[in-house]
Amino acid sequence: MQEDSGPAIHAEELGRSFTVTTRKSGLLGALRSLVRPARESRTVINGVSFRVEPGELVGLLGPNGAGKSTLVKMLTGIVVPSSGAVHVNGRVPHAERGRLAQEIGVVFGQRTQLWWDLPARESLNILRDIYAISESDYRRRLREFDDVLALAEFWNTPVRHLSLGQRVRCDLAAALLHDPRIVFLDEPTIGMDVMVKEQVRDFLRYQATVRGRTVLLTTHDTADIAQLCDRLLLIDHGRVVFDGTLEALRAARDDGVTVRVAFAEPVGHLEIDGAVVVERTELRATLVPAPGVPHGRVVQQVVSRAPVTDLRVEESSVEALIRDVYRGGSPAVARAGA
Amino acid sequence: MSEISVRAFRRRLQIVRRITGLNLRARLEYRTEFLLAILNGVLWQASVLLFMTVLVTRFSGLAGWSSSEVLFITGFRLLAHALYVCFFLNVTYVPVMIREGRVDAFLARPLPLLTQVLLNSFNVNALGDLCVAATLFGVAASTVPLDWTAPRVCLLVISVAGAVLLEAAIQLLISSAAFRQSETFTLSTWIDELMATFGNYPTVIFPLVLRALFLSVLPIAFIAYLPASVILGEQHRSSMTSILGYAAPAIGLCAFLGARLIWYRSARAYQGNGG
Repeated sequence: MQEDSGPAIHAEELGRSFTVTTRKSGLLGALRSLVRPARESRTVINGVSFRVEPGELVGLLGPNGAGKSTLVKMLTGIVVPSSGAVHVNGRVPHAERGRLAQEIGVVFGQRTQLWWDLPARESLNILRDIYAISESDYRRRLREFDDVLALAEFWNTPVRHLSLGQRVRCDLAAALLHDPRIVFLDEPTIGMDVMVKEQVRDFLRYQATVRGRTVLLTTHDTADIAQLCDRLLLIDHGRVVFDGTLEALRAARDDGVTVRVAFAEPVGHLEIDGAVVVERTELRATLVPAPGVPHGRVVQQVVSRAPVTDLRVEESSVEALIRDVYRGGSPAVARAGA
Repeated sequence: MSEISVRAFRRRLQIVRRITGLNLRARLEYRTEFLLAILNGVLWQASVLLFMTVLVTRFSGLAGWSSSEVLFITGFRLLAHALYVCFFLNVTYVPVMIREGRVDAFLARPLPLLTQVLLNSFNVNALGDLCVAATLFGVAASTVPLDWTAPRVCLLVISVAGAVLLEAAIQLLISSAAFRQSETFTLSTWIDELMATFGNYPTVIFPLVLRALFLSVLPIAFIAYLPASVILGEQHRSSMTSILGYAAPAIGLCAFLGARLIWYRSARAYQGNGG
């Protein structure tokens, strides 16, 4: 029934274009588009291919409008692709939507799938019926979710009275109640405080490592990326621009390390082999190792030059790394979205 | 095999019942609003009732139809409409559900999309509609000189079901355009008004153009007039109305199945909500 050996997600040359009605400005333009609307096809996802193996925790990143949500919706069977092929858990999502829904869990961070006016507990009860979950499984899973997410404190409160963090935690439980093999999350940590974010990350990591679920999440939170994702999938203008680990991204971006140093006394001209001095004052300097030069060698040279009071080696922030990828996107890619 | 499908059907029915119960409880969260919604339904339909009463008491009949017979058509349509509101009104809210991202959530669950749309919320005012419609229909059915024999009651039940399905089919067809990012709510409301305005009378009283329209593109005549004239008996039956009147329930069912097919096909074009 389920393919245990195959990839959890397999997309090949996946594409989706939307028809949009373009309106000219002004009243005349509005009238014209009423009589003869100018329809235009816009490519949102353009030839995306990737594989995700069971148990992987993948972060899907991209600027606003890059096509992340559309991609997730194609993987979950909500939107039908216009081209290419996609298999999730061995199934074609839009063709076998009903069956796939039993095997995947979906969370849209900004919206809830719970009954707004009723306690979250009631929604969970209904989901138990919809997914035909046995009473004993249901109780056991609820207990497990409650242990990590502390749901019992508020699951008898109507959902409309819950804070965002509380609500999303209930939504997480709702999405995992039927023990799905693959979980899709669209911005699960959006608008949460630091403590709750931490709780949600722990929960997701537990689901991947201990429960062996495949997790694919979209996020703008760099801490999610650094702490949670084994692998990053960066998309921009509907194309994959990077696929790999955060370490691989660092390596590809020349280590992305800077060395900051403070000297005990003024040093004169400072020249270090294999490094560029990018910032300089009387007592301080910032150096960037040249491509391929380990920063340790730079540090050694600096320390041997003069007495040093403070020295720091900083990795570039995840944010800066990702920004670099988007800026460095090939011209062809940049044109495609214009 | 059949035992399994019977079990699956039972399970589905149980889910429908439980979600309906949940929706009802959700509406009861706001007690005043709940009562106002019912009152709204009652008042709205009562205004129709008032208008009809004036019509029936001031005029002796319409184009060969006695007042009580006209009232019977009205009662029949209101009853069918109230049942439509109970079971199918949510179809007209598809554009809203798309905007709110509910359709996305529905598609992520293992239930048919249409089932989930229909179970989206409980329309409380339908209870008010239903009370008034049942009362009016009861009055009308007792004033027309008819024997309510078993075959006639059967015909009535089937005809009402057909009328409910036909109205649902029309609205389903309109809402299918919502998947292509069109705003369909205004059109739905307008058509609803149109059916309320013209559906309560014998179609024969209208000019030829309207009659042709109500028998074809906008099949209002098939909702109440034609089936009611068959139920009312001989005096109103030309061979044509008779055939059409008997065919009305089948037409309603076919229209509904056809509209459902088109609706699901349109849903494939769904582009998702936002970013």
